[in-house]
Amino acid sequence: MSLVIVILAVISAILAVTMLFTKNPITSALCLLGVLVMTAGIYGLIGEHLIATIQLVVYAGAIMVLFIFSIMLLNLNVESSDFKERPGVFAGGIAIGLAVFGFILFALNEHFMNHRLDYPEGSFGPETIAKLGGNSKVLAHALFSQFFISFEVISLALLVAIVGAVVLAKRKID
Amino acid sequence: MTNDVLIQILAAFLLTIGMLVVLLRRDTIMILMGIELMLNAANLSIVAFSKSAGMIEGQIQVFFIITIAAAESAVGLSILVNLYRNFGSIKTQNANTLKG
Amino acid sequence: MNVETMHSSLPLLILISPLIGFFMNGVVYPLKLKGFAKTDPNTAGATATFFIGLSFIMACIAFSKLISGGENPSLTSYCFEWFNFGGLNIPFELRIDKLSATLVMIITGIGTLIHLYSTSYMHDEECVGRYFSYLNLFCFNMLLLVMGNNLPLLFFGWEGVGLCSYLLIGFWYTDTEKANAGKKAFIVNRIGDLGFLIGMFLLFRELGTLSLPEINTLLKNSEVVARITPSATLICLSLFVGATGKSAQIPLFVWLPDAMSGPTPVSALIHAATMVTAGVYMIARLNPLFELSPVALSVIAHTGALTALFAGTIAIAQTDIKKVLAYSTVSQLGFMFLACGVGAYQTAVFHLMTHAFFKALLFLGSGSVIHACSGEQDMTKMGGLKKYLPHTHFTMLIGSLAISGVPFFSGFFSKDEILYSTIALPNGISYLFIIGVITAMLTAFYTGRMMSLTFYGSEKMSHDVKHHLHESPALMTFPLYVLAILAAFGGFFGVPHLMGDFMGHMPHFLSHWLEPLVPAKVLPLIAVKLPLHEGVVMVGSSIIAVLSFLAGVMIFKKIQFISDAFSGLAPLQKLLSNKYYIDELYAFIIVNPLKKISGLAGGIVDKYIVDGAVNGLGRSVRALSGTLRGIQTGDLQTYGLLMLGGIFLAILFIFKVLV
Repeated sequence: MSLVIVILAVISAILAVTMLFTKNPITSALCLLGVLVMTAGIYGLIGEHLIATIQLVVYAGAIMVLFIFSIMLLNLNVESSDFKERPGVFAGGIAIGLAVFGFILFALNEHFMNHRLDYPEGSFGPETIAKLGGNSKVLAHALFSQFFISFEVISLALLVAIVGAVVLAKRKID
Repeated sequence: MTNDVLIQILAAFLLTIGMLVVLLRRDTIMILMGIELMLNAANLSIVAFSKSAGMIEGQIQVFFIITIAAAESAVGLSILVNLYRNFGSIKTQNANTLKG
Repeated sequence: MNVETMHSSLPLLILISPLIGFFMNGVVYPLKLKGFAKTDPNTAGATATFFIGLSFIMACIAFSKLISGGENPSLTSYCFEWFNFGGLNIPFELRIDKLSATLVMIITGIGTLIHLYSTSYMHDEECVGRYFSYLNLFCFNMLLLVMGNNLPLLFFGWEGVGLCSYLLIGFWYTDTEKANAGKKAFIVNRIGDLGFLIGMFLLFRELGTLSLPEINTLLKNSEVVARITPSATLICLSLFVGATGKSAQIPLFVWLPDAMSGPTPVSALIHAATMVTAGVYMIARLNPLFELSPVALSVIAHTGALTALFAGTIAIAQTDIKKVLAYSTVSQLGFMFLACGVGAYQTAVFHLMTHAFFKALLFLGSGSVIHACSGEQDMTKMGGLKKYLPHTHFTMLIGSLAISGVPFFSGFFSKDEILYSTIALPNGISYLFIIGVITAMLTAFYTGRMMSLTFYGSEKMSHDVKHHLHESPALMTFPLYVLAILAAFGGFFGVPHLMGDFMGHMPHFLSHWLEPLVPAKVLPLIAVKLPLHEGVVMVGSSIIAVLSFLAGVMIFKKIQFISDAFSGLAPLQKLLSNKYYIDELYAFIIVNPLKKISGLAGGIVDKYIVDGAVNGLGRSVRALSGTLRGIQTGDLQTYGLLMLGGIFLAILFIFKVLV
């Protein structure tokens, strides 16, 4: 178990909890940004360099900018006191959270300890990937050959999303 | 405890927190952020599983998910702008025209 | 028995042809011309006549096939499975055997003549296309009735002819009285149809089949007969209730006289020649079933005899020429049921046939008279028409002689056979014979009166009418002559054995023809029960017929009612001309109480109970939904929480993680 990964995991967990409880949307957004960066670090540490890069560029670079931009634009940076006003909701939320977390942990336990949820081994072990020229090359090759159609369809979906966003957000011109 | 287990527990925790953000925070923008956090947690879980199983389909999948997440947040934020325009606020309790 | 079934498309073609005519007149022309009243009368008439004529030609072909077909041949068309559920399997199957072939020939043959006649008769009316489409639709349904190979199909045709009858009686629907006559016919028929339906259900419960050949085959099996005999009376009486409705017997005869408000050719086709005989056909068709119940047969015979007498007396006092013929029809139908009731089914069919000839002739003749008199139907305003309408007079005279039973005209043979059957057959009862003789006398008497009032005596019509008097065009007189020939010589299809012996062993054609389907009882020359020689009955009834007819003609040359000569009979006259106050009686017994009950139901039951239930249901739904609407908070995050619960359950269910 890598110590760096443990540190990153702990930091991102703390940032996530902060994001949940902070009153200021900007703080929340920055916490989310931190979590995404930490996740990118974890990706990098386990050897997924391409995913780590995309995570940084798309999530941390694009999406978070969009969020912060929206907050600034709409002047949403107001303090909210969701939990102080509704202690019952707070307690209920914690209970639900614990239940879901416990449920997933139970499932993980089933998988790792009892091997109930098993799946077949793939053919891309670390040695194979190293032999084929590294993680990025392997992924890129798969993306532009085997998953090419999906890739194109996703690009179309992005286009549609752009047009949709423009249509939704523009003021009506009377 | 191996890296895999640690990452999976982290993913579960982030998913729970993201879910709580969606359910408990009253700002629409916080709800969108919660969704992003949940997507991120799911991505983390998929990549870790795929990696440990020696597959690359998971990574490709995550690549697509990130793309869709970008599209989703763009549309979501433009809806948010509309919501703000129509209700003068982005609090969910104000946007309750569906109330029976 | 040797049954030869030939598969053939002829029955289907015969059936479909009038339907095409109906679509041409009812759908194609109106669509093409963009209006229902715009079809040219000649085109409509020619189309309708063509299609029914085509049907007649095909019927002739089918008939010739049957003649050369062996002992008991039949032509069958299986079209498709009509419905099939549970143990009930009803195919849409048509069948022409010797009995239905006779009926098909009558329907298509007389139908064609009447279509031809209508082309001229209805020429100046509005909406002739509508008239001809109904007429063709009627022929379709009537053919379905006689050719249907199972009871539901027969019932389909049964209802269909009822519908067409309603439509045609109310053809001039702008006249409220005529529209009401149509409604009356329809409603009275409904009562009968209920009986028919119940009979059909009971029959299905007992036998498990509704196919006519299967029923008749099953009833040859002595075990089945033993099983069904207890309920046979109920079944037969239910079916007979249906027959009384359709064939205008006591107590459901009241609609037929009112039905005369339809166009005269309709009266000739539907209310004299074909539809009203459906009940007789049905009983003849199911004769093995009716044979099982002496009670039902006795009821049928008594009803028939009473109806014959009852309607015959009413007919004497009527002034409307069509009403006379209508009551005469009721009376003759009574004769047919009398024949059925004593077990002489063949004779009933024989009389059905001759009656179709001479009554259609009389109705068409009366139509010609009415046409000539500018729509006048009252006989007291006619008289002396003989010199103006020679053709009509000649043909109607033949028809009158036939219906009166004057020897060697068709009516003589069939009526004589019925009279003799009532006394000679084992089921016969002597007082029914007396009633029959009296009715025969009455028939000749009122027919003579009708002829006398219309064609002889002094001229009593108004100046205008007299000015317009004219013989009908050839298109109308041609069918009259054809029918006159049939009415005159149609009886030779069934020459009695006694007379046949004198005429060089001339056989009873119809009896031989129908023998495989409708077995004849042995008709002894000298009856067992009453030593009346067939010859005695024959000679006696001919003398009675001739004398009554002559009396009718002579008496009414000067006067219009019997009471004019014998003042003591005035109350009787009043009673008869008011039809024994039957309509008033029905109004008092049935219609008025029904109206009161309906008023009660509408005022109290409907308003408070039915409306209360409906409104209360609405109110309770509102109250419940007012409570339940709380679920719809309109809050995004409540929905999110519920969705989470759903996902959680779905995961549990799909991956069976915790179970």
